[in-house]
Amino acid sequence: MKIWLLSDYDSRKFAEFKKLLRKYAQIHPEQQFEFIVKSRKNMWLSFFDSLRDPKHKPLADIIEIPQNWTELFNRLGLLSEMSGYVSALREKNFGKYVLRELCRHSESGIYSVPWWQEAPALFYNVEIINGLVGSSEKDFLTWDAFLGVLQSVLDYSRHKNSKIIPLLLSGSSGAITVKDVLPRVWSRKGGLLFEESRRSAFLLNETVGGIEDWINLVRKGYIKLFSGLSYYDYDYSPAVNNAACVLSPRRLQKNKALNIFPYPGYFHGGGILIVNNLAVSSSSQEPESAAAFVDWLSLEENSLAFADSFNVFPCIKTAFISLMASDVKNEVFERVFSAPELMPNVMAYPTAEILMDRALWDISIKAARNDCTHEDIIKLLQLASGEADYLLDTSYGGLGG
Amino acid sequence: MANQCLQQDLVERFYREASQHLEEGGRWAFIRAALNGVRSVTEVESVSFFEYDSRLRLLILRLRSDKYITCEQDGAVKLTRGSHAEKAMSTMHSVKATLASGKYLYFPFSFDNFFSGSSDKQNSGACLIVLKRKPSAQGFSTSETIKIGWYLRAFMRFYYKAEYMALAQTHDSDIASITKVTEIFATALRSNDSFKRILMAIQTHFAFDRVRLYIVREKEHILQGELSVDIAGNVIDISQEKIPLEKGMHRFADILLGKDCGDFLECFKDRVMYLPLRIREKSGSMTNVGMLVVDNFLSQRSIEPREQTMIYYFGGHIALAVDNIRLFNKVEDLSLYDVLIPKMPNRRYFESKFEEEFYRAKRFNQSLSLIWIDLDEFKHINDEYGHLTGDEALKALGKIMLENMRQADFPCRFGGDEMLILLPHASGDMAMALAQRLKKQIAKVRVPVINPDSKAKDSKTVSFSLSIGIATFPEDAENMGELKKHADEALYWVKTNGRDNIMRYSCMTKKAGRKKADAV
Repeated sequence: MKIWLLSDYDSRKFAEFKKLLRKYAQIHPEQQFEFIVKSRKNMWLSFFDSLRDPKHKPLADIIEIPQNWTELFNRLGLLSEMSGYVSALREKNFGKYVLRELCRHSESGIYSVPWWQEAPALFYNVEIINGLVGSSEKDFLTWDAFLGVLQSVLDYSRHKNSKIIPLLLSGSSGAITVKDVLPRVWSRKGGLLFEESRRSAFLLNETVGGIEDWINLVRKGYIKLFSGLSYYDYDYSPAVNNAACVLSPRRLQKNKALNIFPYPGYFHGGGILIVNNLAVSSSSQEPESAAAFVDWLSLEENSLAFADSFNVFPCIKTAFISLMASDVKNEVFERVFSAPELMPNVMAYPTAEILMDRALWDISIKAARNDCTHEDIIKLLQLASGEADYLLDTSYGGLGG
Repeated sequence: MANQCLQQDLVERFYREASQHLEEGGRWAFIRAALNGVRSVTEVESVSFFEYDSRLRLLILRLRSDKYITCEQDGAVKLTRGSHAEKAMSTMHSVKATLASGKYLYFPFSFDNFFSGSSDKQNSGACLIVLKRKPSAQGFSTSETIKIGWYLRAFMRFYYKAEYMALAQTHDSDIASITKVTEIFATALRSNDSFKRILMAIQTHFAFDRVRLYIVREKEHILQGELSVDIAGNVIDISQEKIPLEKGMHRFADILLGKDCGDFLECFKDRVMYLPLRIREKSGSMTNVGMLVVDNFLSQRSIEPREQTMIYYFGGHIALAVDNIRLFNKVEDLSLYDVLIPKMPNRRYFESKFEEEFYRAKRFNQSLSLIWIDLDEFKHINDEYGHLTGDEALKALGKIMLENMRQADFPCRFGGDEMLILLPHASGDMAMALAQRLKKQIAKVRVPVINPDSKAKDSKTVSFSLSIGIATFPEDAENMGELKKHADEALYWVKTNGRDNIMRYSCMTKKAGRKKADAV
């Protein structure tokens, strides 16, 4: 049986997965597994390659996907229905917010199983923030106040000629991405698509404003793009130790120097939640065995061990509750998970995300060269928006909208 | 020497493994194998593979291998001046470094990127492999550096060979596809769903997210959507899309008419192609017959230059096929349909259809009804108001017939003012119901009288009625000839009994029987 997993900067994810495979092999020695890891981009293209040439480029039996790819690939006929096979689905052992997005059209079945989730929060170095800069948690309540703290750190660092950096994005690919900007965009009531998903909202003032907030972080020198700080280390790197603040969707509590606080502007909870699911491909030759393995992975114990290994959260509700109980610092995450928002699981959203990511890459390149004006941002978003609107054209062979 | 043999074995083993995955993983299967190989010839914590974008001065992280896994990555690092990586890339020699985070070996190399046609020869296909050891571990020795260098170079020699083979395979497959697709274009003419066949042929080879065909409608001066086929094979009728063929009205019209579309085409050229379909007339001038639009907007996969070239190559064939289909349809229209009433089949077409349907009815023991309609006093209308008014009356009748029939019913103008409707799988009662509906609707029609000289519509109108005869297989007839004859006889009965009525053959014979009995 073949398994495709999404790549991750933290390879402990795969170490734990291998462990789980070995454990499963003890129960089902007859089952042979082969798994490979694909980047998000290649995973996306693999689905389309399989549509083009299913004989030579078949999908794996089990595939890890971002939750909001489910609707699209189900509509393209590439995923199997799962509700009858996975007990966690039958028992609705997931957060309401996860289920809501998974079953937008409850009558049509469930085509993937939520696996793990992460939500960005702010981690700050107590010694730097409280001790050196003299700021406190109340300074993280709003985005503007947060910028004030970053400026103080930068002033301090320049004045003292220290290596302290104001803000680090944990696990960053180098450029600013949709996942980075969405919390700010949503907080300003912007978005990628209008509610009914018929038109892109890239050029909405609120969306542009959210993106500009992030570019200002670069313009003002609070973050450095394409610095490569997060490639070789997970959460204990020297880079993290030199950062006054870290925006991370993962639990960095194990680093004793860091304290946790909700994402700036989301003190009472909410914000973006990134969820990854497991799906069984419709072309699988062993759909029942594949679903049985997914069911096994969704057991509380396995789900918890897997998510905990690389500091994310399990989607299985009972596993999530027991993880939350394990660390007092999780109180902040409890607030974050009280009313989170997921990226809509609608047909055109994943492509809209790709288009926005491409625009953000170009914007990031310009910003990294200190050459990114408001007009540049608008121009690049206009191009992306034009393409997204073309895609959303209702005549798109039944695929758009 | 023995050591070198050992390494040669190692290279070959990894080469064999990579070759197995060549089709699935292509270049990446090789590089993945190369990184695994490096990790097996020397002790390291991780090995990372970067591609170098010299325009942006960015190292793009593609693969990373550590003790747990070798996996694809997405990330980019700025090549800062004075860094060890920069030194390695600028000299194309390996560089060793000791940093707080560990011991590093930067190993640059370059693919002989003769496939890409890149003009940037200096950094064409330049890559960087970074090996890392823990801070507490020993640094990389000179002999280790030489060993790794030898290994990577040997490996890449195999890689070139494999990439060349893959390219040759693609070339062969393209040639085979060209032959197949061209054959389909050439034979599309004979098919009922020729446009669909053409689009499906394109999708079979290229598998774009969507391919759409638009046809120029000369009379209406529009570009009209014909069909759209998506990657999942769904065929969608897009005939509702009508684009005025005027510059500035729509991008498609601008492209077809050769108007500059600004930077739009340039921006999206990787994901969409607009292919105007043109044919050369006898006079030498070019005529637009349609437009093919292919796109990869949904998947955001680039349309490769190779695909672009092939689609352009097919453009001429597709244009010719589209024009042939148009001409064929025109000829078919002329030979099968009535010249006066739009979409009304003529007698010849009806006869062939009648034969088919009768065979089917008999074979499957199904009923088949025939309605024979005559426009009452048609000669009088022609004589009194002129032929143009008579023609209008026929057109009105034809329109009402076409609007009221089921999809399976088949009408025709049999000649003069006589019309037939064949009703497969319909009893005499069903035929009667349709006949009554037609009669009722015709009674409401007022045809404007047309002045024979000015050809203008008069304020005066004329109304008319219908005489209708019906016969049904199997109760009224045993064969085709009888069915027609009996429907005609029923009609004749109506015409000789005061017109403006409907008669079923079975009723007529009952009446005739009663008359006969009365007479006896």
